[in-house]
Amino acid sequence: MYLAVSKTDNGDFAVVMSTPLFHYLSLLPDRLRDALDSPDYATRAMRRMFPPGYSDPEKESEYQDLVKGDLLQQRLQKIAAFEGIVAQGSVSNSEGKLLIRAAEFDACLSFLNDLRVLLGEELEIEDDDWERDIDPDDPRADKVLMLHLLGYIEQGLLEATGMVDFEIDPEDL
Amino acid sequence: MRWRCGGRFVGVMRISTSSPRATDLHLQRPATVETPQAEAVPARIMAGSPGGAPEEGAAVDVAVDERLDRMWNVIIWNDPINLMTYVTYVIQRLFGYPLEKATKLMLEVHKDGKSLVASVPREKGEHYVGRLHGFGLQATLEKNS
Repeated sequence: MYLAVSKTDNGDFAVVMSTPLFHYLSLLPDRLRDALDSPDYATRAMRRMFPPGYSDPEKESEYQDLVKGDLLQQRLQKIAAFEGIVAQGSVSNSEGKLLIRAAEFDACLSFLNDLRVLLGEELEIEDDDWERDIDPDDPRADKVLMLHLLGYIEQGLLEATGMVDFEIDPEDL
Repeated sequence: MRWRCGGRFVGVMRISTSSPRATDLHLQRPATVETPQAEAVPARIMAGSPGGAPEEGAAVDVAVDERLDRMWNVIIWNDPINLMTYVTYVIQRLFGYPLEKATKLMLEVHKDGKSLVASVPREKGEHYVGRLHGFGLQATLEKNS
């Protein structure tokens, strides 16, 4: 499984990947859409995806009234944008190709991150020391693998922007 | 987990700790809070003329204080899921900060659990917090104290 992302001269992003990864990407939109369909905002995952903006209860209530609906719509639009990108891609037996327009890049990246956040909450990840290497027979294994894979894709996209520092020394953390 | 792209070390897949708690959101005003480039405070402070009346300077001080009192702090909170590189990218996209400053703020989030990334009028602050939430980051707005 591989992924290569390059920025084109006009600012779009050309993505070439292995065929299984292309097919995998096509399954992702429904995974997030199902979670956001009639969301229960009291659940851990939805509390994380629609987090508080204020500590003051009155201001927080006003803020949520103001933004929650919009935020949900934005997330659904990002799903649709990603779905459209994959639908316009091409795939053969040897590789899959996508073109992410510059104007769609943030939506695409943010969609992938939304899915990571959802998975992280479903896995009840609390801190940095979460179990990254998990037994394949563990019932959480599929979600952990998906979380890693999404991180790999997200990282590939970020690298192509040239806007992030990949040389951060862990010793500095 | 550390990530490598193209054979290079690309960071650590974590950016940690707990969600913000309502009781833990109060920050002191740091000495060097900056506004985003697009929100730069106009240079309203004029140098007093030699021997000028002290009242003029006092009025300027009051004006600055009143302006600061109207400012709200946008705070990004740490979480264990978002990639460090992703947080750095989002800070650059939303606030227009250069890579070096965005990386510094991201590391502050990672190390200290939170970072004050902008001090702006409330309406603008709500816009930023909403946008940060849209990107999947945890962020809150606190009145400048």
